[in-house]
Amino acid sequence: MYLTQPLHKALRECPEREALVFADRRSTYRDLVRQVATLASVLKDLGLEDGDRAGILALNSDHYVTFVFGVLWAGGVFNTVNIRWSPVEIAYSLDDCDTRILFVDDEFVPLIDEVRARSKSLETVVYVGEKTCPEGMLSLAGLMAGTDPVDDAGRSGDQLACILYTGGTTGAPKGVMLSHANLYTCSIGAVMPACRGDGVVGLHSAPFFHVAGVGLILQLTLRLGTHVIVPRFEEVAVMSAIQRERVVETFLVPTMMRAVLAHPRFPEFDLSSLRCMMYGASPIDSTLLKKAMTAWPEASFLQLYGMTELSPVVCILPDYCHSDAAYADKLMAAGLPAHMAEVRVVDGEDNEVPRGQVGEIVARGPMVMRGYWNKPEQTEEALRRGWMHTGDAGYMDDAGYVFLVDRIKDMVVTGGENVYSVEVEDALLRMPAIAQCAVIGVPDEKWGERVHAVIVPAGGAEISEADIVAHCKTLIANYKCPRSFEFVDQMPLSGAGKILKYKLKEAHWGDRGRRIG
Amino acid sequence: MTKQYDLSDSVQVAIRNTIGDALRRSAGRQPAAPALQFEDRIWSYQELDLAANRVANGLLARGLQKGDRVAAYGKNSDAYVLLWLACARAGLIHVPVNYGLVQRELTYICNQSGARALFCDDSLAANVEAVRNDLGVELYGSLRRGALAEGVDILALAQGRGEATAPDIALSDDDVVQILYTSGTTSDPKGAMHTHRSLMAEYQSCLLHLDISGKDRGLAALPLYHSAQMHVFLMPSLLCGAFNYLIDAPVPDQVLALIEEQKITSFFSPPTVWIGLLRHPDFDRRDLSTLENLYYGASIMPEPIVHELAERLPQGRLFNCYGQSEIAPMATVLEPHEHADRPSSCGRPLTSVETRVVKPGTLEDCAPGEQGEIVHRSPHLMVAYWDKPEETEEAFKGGWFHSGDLAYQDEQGYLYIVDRIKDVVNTGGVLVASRDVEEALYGHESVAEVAVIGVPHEKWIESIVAVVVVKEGKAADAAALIDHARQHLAPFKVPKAVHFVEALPKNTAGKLLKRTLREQYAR
Repeated sequence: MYLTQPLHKALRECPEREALVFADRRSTYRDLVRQVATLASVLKDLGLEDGDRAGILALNSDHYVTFVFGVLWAGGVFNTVNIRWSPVEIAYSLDDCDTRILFVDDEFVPLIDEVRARSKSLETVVYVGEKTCPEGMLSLAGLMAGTDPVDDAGRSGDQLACILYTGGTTGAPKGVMLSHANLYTCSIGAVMPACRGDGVVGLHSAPFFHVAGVGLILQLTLRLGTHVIVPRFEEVAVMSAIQRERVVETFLVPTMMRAVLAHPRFPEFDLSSLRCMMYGASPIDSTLLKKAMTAWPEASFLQLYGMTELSPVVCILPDYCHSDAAYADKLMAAGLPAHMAEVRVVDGEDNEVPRGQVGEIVARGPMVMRGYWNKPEQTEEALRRGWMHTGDAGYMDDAGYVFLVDRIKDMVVTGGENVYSVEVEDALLRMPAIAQCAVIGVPDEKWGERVHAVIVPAGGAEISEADIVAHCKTLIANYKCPRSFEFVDQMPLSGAGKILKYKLKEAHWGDRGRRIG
Repeated sequence: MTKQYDLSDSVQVAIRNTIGDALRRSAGRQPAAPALQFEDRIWSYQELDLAANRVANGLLARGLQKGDRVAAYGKNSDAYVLLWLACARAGLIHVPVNYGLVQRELTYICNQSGARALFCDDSLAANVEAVRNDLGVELYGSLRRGALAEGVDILALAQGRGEATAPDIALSDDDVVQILYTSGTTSDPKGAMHTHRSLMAEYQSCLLHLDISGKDRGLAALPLYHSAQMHVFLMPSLLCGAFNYLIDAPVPDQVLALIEEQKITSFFSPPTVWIGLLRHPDFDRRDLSTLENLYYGASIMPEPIVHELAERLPQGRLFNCYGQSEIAPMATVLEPHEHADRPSSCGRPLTSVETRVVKPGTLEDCAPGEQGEIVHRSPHLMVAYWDKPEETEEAFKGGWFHSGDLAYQDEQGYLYIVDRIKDVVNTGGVLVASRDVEEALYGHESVAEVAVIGVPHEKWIESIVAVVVVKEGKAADAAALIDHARQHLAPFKVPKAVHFVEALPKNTAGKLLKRTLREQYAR
């Protein structure tokens, strides 16, 4: 199983089919394969050897897809860098897995000086923007112009394909190692239960650096479909791309779907080509679903649930749960285990709990990661007893549907990003004016959950929220900084002196059955 | 510098994807759902899972060890399926033996694979007894209670009170789990070695392309020793929670009755069996309205039959499945909506299969319409022929698996099978598919059976020879047949000679032995 296989097939089976559509650029599969093979040659010339990492820090574009396949074709391992990270975090992830080559687009050129200054590994920066190449960087277009394509290095199976960084419980991000077989098997499992046909036109607006973005690229390439790409989610860009390219399938998290449907210009666009609407990150409520089904009566709906460590899809809520009233009670579920995935709910000792009882959701199957890069203890902890511990609390009903209710890991999921509380708390506690703090997720209309800080000021000092945010921004990514605050005299503590976060959460989540967004 | 990483035991357990893991997943999802029925025994997914463990533990307790070969010589039954699943659980290598084989061929497969155990039906026990002194088998047993009284009985183990937890055997996806012997019309059979990984990859492809789902009720009537019934239909449907009704032969009245009684939704058989069903008087008497997925393979469905099926089973959807044991066996599929325009194609490669048509003896692509050999690359492929390194090397020459099938592709990449390469006749440097000539001769009213071969010829390299069995009461008239061929074939394809025989040489599986004919008529 190798992830470049669809490209070889495309060259034989449909070389003239459009592969990539971005802004006013269009390329066929024949073009794509040539670009991929040439990019691979460039990477090798830059010193990339079998199994070496190459990174990219960019918004979505056609170049991004070429990069992903180009690295694989060259025998490398791609590291798609989180675009919301601060230079400190970016440098950490490059150094952690020794990424020496980084591709960057116009959007992130301004960060490069600081990343370079902080990173020990980074040697070569390749510019993939639309303007003139900044000094100190190599222009991809220039490098490609004088280079001949090479043959596919032919990595496959259990060999690594990528390292994707995710927040770490101890503060430092962890590099999730995924193999060709992990991603290939998971992608086939993800396209199996739905009417996701061959050769269709798909629109990507989810960020490619994220595992969901990577997964969606692979799921569509596997079916030799056409990738329509917008730089980032923006309602009008999405709607006009769907109309112009007659897009058949796309992925939007419910908040994005809501934003599209509520947009004042929504009625101007013809979105009737949509046949498959995928979503994830949170369940869809029946009001939103009704609206969406009215807007796209021909479309089927599909929820995908997973995490980076699971390549990422492990549960799927099939279309019939959305369209058949008999399944109305399943709408809040994360879905049924995907093909090849085995899902269980366990107690603290890893014993399976009876159906209906809440515990931690664990999973195993060929989509489970190969481990965290250079973190054997954390790998062992996450995969203890041969099951991937998701950190999500939930239950399974009698029919086998998995429902999420809370999070076991101390983590906030905001706008699809995982934010570990401990990382934010560390940053906060570096401010002398803060004596104690606790970071929790609270419900948020737009972001699903919002990073919320409960703070005990030191010696009754006066602290402004703006100062705290300014302080945090020097250390952690924007999206990790608290968006709301609560100042208290003391924390609710357990007998052992541990802060009782569930008491802090109660005030915000009330008696909702589910305490995650 | 390339950093290496080691997989901890926890990771290896978490990511393992063997056939036994897949069965456990199905049982975990729908423990009570019926998985398999044979005669009056219905096995739920949980029962099947536990029974596979009991049989696996029973085999290990009798001294079999990981990697040992276990020959299965039986017709379809629940015990047959359980032995296979138990082998997968226990790390044993399952060796299916076509139950039509006897004597030398039975001995060959058991001994070439080095089988330590052999399980057979009581009805076949005499065949085993006949060659028992020549076999290296240490453990004998029966698939159905009663046979070989001294041995182990699989059904009894399955239904017994033995240990039902999975045996503690270190398994990996790359372990060999089955050796599938090719039928060997041109040489001794070769054993295609499949791993958990190759078969699981193939199951995924079948689930993706053949519209198999948990709602299916399948009727499995073709032999399970053959990879099509086992690996394209039964196993993928057990992976997704479907129900399978098992019988041991596709007898038309029984098949038609079961479709009605069991509300069967999917059925696979070669075109000849489909034609037999259509011609049976019960076809119109039975309620076949549940039957939706109609699968066939091994040969093309004659176009008039495609139309007749569409008319008489209007809800039916036809899938043409093409492949061979070495690719586990699915390689290409012609999907229902593709039949109208290309009824004689075997479709296009599956998602996980790369297929090319190349000039024989090279890896150069043929142009559309040009005939060449089909070659594949795919995770479905076998890892080797058992104990045949040279044949393995030959088959995988240049990094592609050479199918031995002659075919061409149209402009859209649809494949059309022409013949087995070894059955192509080279007459004066022009290649003629024996199948073309045979089809023309079948059009003559006197022909019951015909085989067309090439025999060495000093001027023409090979000359085309037809060997014919005439229908009862018809005259054997060579001139009339050659005349008939002239009307239907290009001049260079017309046989130079016609021989009449009482019967054509066949192996016990009913496959024509052209090798024997070529030897006999070579002068």
